[in-house]
Amino acid sequence: MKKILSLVVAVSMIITLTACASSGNAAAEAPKETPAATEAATEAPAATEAATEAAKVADVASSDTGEEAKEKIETVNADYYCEDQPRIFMTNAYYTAPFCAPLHEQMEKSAKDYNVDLTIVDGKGDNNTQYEQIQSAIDEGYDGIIYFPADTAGTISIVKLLNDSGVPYSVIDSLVDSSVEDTITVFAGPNNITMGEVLGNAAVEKLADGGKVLMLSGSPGADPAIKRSTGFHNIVDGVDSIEIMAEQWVDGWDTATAMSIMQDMITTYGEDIDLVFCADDGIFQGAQQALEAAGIMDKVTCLSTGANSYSCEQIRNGKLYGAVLHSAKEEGKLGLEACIDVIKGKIKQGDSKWYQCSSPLVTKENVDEWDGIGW
Amino acid sequence: MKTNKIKRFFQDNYIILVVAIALIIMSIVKKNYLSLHNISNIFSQVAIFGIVASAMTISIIGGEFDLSVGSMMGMISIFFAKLVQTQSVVTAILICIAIGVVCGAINGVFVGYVHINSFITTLSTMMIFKGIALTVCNSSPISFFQESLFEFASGTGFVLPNTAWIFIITLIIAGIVLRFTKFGRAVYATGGSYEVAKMAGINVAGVKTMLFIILGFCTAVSSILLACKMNSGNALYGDTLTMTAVTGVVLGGTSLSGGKGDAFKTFWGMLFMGILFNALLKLQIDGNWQNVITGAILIAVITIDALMQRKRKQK
Repeated sequence: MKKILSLVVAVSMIITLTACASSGNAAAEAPKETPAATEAATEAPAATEAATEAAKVADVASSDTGEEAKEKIETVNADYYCEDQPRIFMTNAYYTAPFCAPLHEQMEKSAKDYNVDLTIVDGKGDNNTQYEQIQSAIDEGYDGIIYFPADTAGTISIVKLLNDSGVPYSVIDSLVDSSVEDTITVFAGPNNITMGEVLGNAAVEKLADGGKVLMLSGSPGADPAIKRSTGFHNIVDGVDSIEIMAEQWVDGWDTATAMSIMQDMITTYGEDIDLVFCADDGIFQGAQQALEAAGIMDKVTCLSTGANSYSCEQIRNGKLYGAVLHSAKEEGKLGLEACIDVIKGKIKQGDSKWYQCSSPLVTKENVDEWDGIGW
Repeated sequence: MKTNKIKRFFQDNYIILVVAIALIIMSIVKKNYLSLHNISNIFSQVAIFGIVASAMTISIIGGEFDLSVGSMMGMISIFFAKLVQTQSVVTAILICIAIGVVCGAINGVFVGYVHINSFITTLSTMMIFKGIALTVCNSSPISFFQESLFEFASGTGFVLPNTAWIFIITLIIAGIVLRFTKFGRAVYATGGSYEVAKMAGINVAGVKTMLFIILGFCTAVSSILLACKMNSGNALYGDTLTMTAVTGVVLGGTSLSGGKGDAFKTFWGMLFMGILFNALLKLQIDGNWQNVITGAILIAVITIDALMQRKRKQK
């Protein structure tokens, strides 16, 4: 028994050493896989131009003003009313995330307004679960499907499944993998890279004389987290006078985890911290508590994503410099409208339309205009 | 006499009765619920995690528990996604299986030979595997596309999905190993009473190590299948694996305290999980209520089973 065991372990270890060598090569190639972060460090303006260009081709453009955005959310557009009450199935990978509560609420309200029978289920952040849910929805004969992906890389199989089924669908919140991007019907959501870049530009503007930055990025592996971080790096990495001292991922976008990480960072970097990038408002809240407790809140500039009511209040009282908007209500409504457009035949598979959500930087100057649109 | 035998059979295999009742109810409520296509869907939903559940059954019978399989699955899927782009598919598979075996052996050596509690050991390695996965992939999922791998992992052969056949074969092997081999008897003995097994001359440390190696091997197979099915590796794959596999094992009647259970019954436990998942979708139950109903049904099934067992013991 012992001999067999030793043999198995020994053989396995030899093979694994080979694996390590191979993965070592792969790891060495890793930077190539994040060209956006590395190349854009030297080509930040180009990246920003690309984002602006992308914004121009959005098929439903984002709102320029808060008033316009509010009107879009509140208006019941008769074009989307469905006489025959279609059944739409939605799988949301981040069903229990705080951001998704107002998103679901808005979708359910809009579904009522448009005479749609909407079912929303928990995708549990797992591609395989979502694959099976969508397979069941197809078999069940739903008239439309709304897909809120867990991550970009895992979308290939699911998009293939949706395309093969012929069932009308829309994708919301996270973009699909670039290899299948041209085959989808419609995507409704923001551009998370652009959102990161908006914050990057705000950081560059605020730290005009240079400074030191800490990054509290979102949940490791989550697509919005990766892209917001990439966007921020796109801009800031190219500025020599700004140093990113550390970047930490906040597991589960959890406020308490963010607070612990910030406490550790304060212990390590203390007075050197000039600016903190927060990947969402919950993370900002945790960072704020740690900064307040350390008595350095007033010395540190904070940037966040979401612009929910709490963040807007903190912007007003000067604790938060700015937050890029991510409107759950707007995204929910656009996602449903996009799916109805596909059901009504206005959009076909392969059209790859983009219904863009607004993502302006909300600061003290425009907070009253945008408050209540976030989440 | 015959009635007593049937009664006894269902008392011993209570979960089969539960599965049958669930299928009957669903076939009344939903037309075509028992169609081959839907049965295939149910299997597809539980097959990949079921492979790990088969190995988890052996492990739990042997008195040990592995919390690290979820992180291991994420890590191996990342290695596979990377390797398959630079190496041949066979090499990638072999390397990933070797990684699974080594990870299992590490857990096993700490539990079996260093005598560290399996909960603590696998909690630690769970964090290590997750950390390695996130470091290797730079926190980003890795996509790849190989049509043949996708077709195999999501395809169907002889009515059931290919993954379901692998699940069934794994269960049969696990069942045979447990019932008919010396190692299987050693697993029951070690899980039943560690000290007695040791005094009886069983190499308990070796048995415990082997439990984790088997788990590592099966997790590697599952990870490869999942990566092929989703065309990607992701450090987050397998986040729900541990709980799903353990629930399936417990529903099948395997005792969490070790020494008692059967791999074949785990089949019914996993099947019941699949039926529940599928039924809640078919019935258009809202996401929040799905969690409430799933939890309530699971606790009800396990409670009734426990009460029946207690009643039998009292007799």
